[in-house]
Amino acid sequence: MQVRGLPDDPSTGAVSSDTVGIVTMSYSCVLRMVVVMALVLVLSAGSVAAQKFGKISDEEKLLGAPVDYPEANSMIVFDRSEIEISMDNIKINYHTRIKILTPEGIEEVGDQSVSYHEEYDKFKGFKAHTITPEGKKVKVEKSAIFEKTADEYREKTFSFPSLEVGSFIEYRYSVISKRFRYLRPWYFQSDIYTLKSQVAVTIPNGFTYNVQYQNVPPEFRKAELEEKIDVGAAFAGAKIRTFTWTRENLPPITDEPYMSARNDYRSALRFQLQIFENRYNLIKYQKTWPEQGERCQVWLDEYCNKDKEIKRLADEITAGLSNERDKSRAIHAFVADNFRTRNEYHNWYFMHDNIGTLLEEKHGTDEGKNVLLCELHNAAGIPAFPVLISRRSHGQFYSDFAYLPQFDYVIAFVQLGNEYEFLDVSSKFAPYGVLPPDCLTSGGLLVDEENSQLVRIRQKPMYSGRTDRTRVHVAADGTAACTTSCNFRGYYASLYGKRHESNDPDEFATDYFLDKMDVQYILGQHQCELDTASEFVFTMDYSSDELVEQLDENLIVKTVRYAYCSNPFESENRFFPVDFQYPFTYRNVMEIVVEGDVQESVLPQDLNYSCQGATFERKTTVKDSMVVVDTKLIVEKTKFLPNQYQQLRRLFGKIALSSEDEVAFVKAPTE
Amino acid sequence: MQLRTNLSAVWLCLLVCWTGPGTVSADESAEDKAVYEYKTWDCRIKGNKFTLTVKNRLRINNLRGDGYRRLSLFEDKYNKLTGVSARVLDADGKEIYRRKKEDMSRVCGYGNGALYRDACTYYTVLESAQYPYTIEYEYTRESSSLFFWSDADFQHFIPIHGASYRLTVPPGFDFHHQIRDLELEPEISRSGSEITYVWSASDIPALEEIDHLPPGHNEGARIEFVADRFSLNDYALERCDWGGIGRWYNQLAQGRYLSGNSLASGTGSLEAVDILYLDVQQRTRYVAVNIGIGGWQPHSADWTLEKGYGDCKDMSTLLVSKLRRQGIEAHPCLVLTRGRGVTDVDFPSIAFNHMVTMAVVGGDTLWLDCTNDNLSSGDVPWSIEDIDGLVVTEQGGQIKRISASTAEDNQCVLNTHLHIAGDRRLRLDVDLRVTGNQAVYLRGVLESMDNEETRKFVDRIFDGASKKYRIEAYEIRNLDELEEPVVIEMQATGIKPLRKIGATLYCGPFVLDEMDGFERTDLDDREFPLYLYYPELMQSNITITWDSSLAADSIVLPEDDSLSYPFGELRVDSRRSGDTVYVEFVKAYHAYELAVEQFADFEIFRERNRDIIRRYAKFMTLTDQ
Repeated sequence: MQVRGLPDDPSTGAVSSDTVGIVTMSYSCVLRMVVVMALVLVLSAGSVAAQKFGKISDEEKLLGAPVDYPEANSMIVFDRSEIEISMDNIKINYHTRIKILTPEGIEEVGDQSVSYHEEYDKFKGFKAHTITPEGKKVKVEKSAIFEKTADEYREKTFSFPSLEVGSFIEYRYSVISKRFRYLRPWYFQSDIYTLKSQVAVTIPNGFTYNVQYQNVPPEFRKAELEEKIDVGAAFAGAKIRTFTWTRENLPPITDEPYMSARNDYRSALRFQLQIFENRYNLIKYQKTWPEQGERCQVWLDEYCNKDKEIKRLADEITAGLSNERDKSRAIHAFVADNFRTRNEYHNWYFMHDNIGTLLEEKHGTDEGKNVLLCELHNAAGIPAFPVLISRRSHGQFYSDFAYLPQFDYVIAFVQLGNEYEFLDVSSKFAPYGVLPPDCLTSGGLLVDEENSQLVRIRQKPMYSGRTDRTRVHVAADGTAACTTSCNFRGYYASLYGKRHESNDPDEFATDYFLDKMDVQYILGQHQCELDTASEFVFTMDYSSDELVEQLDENLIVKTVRYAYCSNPFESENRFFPVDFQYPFTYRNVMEIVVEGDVQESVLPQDLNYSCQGATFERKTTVKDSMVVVDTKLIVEKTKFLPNQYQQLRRLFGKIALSSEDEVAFVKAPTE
Repeated sequence: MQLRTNLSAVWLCLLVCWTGPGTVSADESAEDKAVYEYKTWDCRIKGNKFTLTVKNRLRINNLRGDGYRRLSLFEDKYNKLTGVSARVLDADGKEIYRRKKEDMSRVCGYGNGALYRDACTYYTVLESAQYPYTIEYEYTRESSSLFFWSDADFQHFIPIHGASYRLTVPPGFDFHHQIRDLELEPEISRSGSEITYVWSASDIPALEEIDHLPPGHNEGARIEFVADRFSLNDYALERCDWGGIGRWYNQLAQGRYLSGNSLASGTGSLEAVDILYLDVQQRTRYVAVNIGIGGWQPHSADWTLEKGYGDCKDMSTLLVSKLRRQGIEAHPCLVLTRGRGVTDVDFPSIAFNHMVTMAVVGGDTLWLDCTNDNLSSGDVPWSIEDIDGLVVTEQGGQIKRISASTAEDNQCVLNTHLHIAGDRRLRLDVDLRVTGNQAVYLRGVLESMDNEETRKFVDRIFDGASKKYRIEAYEIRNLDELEEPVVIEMQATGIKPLRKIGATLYCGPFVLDEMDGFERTDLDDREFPLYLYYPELMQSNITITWDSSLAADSIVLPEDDSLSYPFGELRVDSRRSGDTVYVEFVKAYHAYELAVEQFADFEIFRERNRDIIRRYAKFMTLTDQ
């Protein structure tokens, strides 16, 4: 529940009339980026603002499941936010109305919750009720509203009474915030169908906000503009402007495989305060990236308080090494091997108040370890800088929106002469210079005081591959004894190394390998290591009496494969890209040796499937009485657009089917 | 099919503070991952209150022991945490860092499946980069009621070098205790105004992780305590026996039933029970809010009726009220559901986690659970089948056995028609009919799924059918008709042709019959019963036809077979009539669990089962397609 970002600065964000003096001049207030200051047709049938709390229209009473999503159990009739910015604070009014369409919808939406921040927000004016199909209103009593807490976060949770099919649930509340700089993002889309979603931002003279659009088609970006005279303003002609954006008929966004952060796919708006200006003042709020970096530097400098000790440590680690890259590798290995990761946060990115405690306790957050990595490099005379990023699982990075809360992680940038590396020490099994796949974002903010700048993080053009090699020895009694070696390179190594560290070793073997096969097994010895070629290698032995079937005089041996045995793309349709994170090659080699005399073997046919951007092939050969089944899947690109989904789905369906193929051994008849 | 396994996966949700990691491989000793060096409890009782000081020290030896590094403590209105301190020591015993209560993360309101729970959890992770390391912690809990005085676990999934429980009570303090799975006698000493009991044990071995364990087994050595008298708020238990506990609950529930006149008892009917049960089910939904005593005291029936929601106690209170008003004898019944333990009828305590309603009409006893919309009034939910419950009557509590189900109650009948086409691909027409516990499960799962989710679910029911078959159509019926079986019909086509080796075409008729998880459990050296979950009858009626172009010269049918034991039976019969082969396969389990003495028979049983489902109908063909 922790917000991953720098603490906001309410003391400088709030603009009160005391600090700015008398507002006399008339300055126009504009919203930059793609806001057009003209009245634009709003595509909705009627304004949501006209809908009063508790008043259901005849149209709404007749509403059923949407034509484009007939299985909806419930539906957001409207979801509206009014953001009123004033000199003292920001008041956000929320109003939501949901209709229950089926009995299952009661369970789906009957309990609701809303959250806010204890320090920065005031929660007010909460009202909620059920409106039955007959029109009776049943209030959610105050005694039925509960507050949960998780550190500084608060969650109001409540349950609607008297629910039945055809009921409406409706609630509204206000949040008074002092956080001027970044308004809460508005998400048009939810996890249930949304008939209409609307956000209205009312801005008095003097304020300028940036708007960032996410998955909002161009035709919906033009806000409806309403202006009125600000009668309370100190000078004549001052206006209050209200910008309203509306979207309609939005299907829910659900979790699918190979997607990044769910919020990346939701249609949304984000707002950042740029400037406040009047006759006497011009206050810039939107920082440039260098300015943001400077702020971060202050905070990082407070954290890094052990220069001497770090210098001593750096000298120890790099003793006898002259080459910068060797020194860097040694430092990387030292931090990765000696500091455990614990991802609980008490202080924004870091677990501790300062790096000294990290050094003492020998465990901390991955971010803290990466900052230590930078410090050690610098102490060893190698320039290194922390880089703030937004990991893929957190959300996309918007470089044109200098908004610090969009970051959720810190990696290290190391300058090695004319070369550089992005480093991360979250896993000791991850090869040097290979970021975890979740960190493969487009860029981040390199923090270097006033020289802070955005940096692009390019995927290294490296081979990311996995090769599984299994020798299956089939005994006379039909039991199969298997020895497997799985070699991971590149981003694969980083991914599986981290998985290994995050799981119990036995569960790593079963969850990521053996359970994929759907046969019973007895796990034997297994181990992991990072070899000298920076490959993460996992080996295991196991046996199974379900891999081989006796059919008269024939032995039927099932395919052994630990990945892509089922089609990950189960949904028939998909409306957002498939994101594999990195191009990769997966190779599976199965070698079968059968005890006893084999008269002939019936091999599965060779296969060759492809679609744009991916290929799969299988070759089966016999070599020295050993049958070798060699399959290879190559995914050449990271992203596949929605219009390529069907082809990809078909391909992976065929790949999954190929795991059902068998090798038949016809044994020589016994005398 | 995986219906039974899915059902067991649904209920199998262990909530253990100190969770052991997954399966330990064969050659490893549990000592390798972590060990408790000591566990101590010091409990001092004064009046209705007690103070419990816990001190633990454990060593984490390697990565496998990391599951033990979390410390999670709760606090609520009745139980205050004081004196929390923890520290981590390196291999040389040097302190690396320490933590206090204020250093821990605090989360309030969450937990236990409730919408809101009036309690806070403090948690932290105690760890070091280098193994081995030692965790030492202590805390004191001050409880304002002996109601909360409970067990001490002397055994975990890691070894314990030493454990001791010290109990100090005033003279005349009556309590009951039960020692499970351990031989222990306390040392008793008296001094002045106190009596002290000390139970100690050393070198306690680690519990084994056992799959498919029936409730009440392998729960580990522990001491269970219960005071003979306690009060919670103003509700006093005057004597801790079943009658007394029932009377205590009556105090809690007093005035909570619907007001108004009731018909004379004995004038109601089974039909009335049906109607009222359905009424409560439809008019209320499950929402649990536990505030203060609210975790044990029901809301008034009027409140539940007005809100349209409540927890199990609330719904039972409402149903009892309505039944009594119709002249039907009805009582609330406290239970400890399957999967949470077993009620020891010889050790009265308040260890319950659920409430249902017992109604008596004529000579029939009905057990009614309002929290599940997919039960008819005749259905006993699996979670309370064949267990003891505490029925609360006006006189107090009485233990009664809740009825068990039979294999005939839980039927899974699969009618499958297989047609072998000329291209050797199978066409399937499947009709699955499910009753009893499996029907309840299916209804619960399917009711909220959209089309896409349902399609995926159907695929999974038929064991990943989409890898072998192209599902062309399916239909699900009777989800709302609780008296009828749930029916799933499916039409599919085989993706690959049937296996042909030489001149023999192999057609396995048991295309949709797989063995469940418990049937594949390793029984070697197992010392505990095997959980069969519930009695069940599975029947597959298979017909096979084939395209005439296959020109089968002769057909070898799967061999007939049968096997019968007290716990279950197997039977397979095949015959041919003209151009059709008929195969009937029946498997039934008649018990909830299998005793260790029955394992040898069960090995034979399941081996035969495995063999049967691998049998083929063999078509010797002249035509090579």
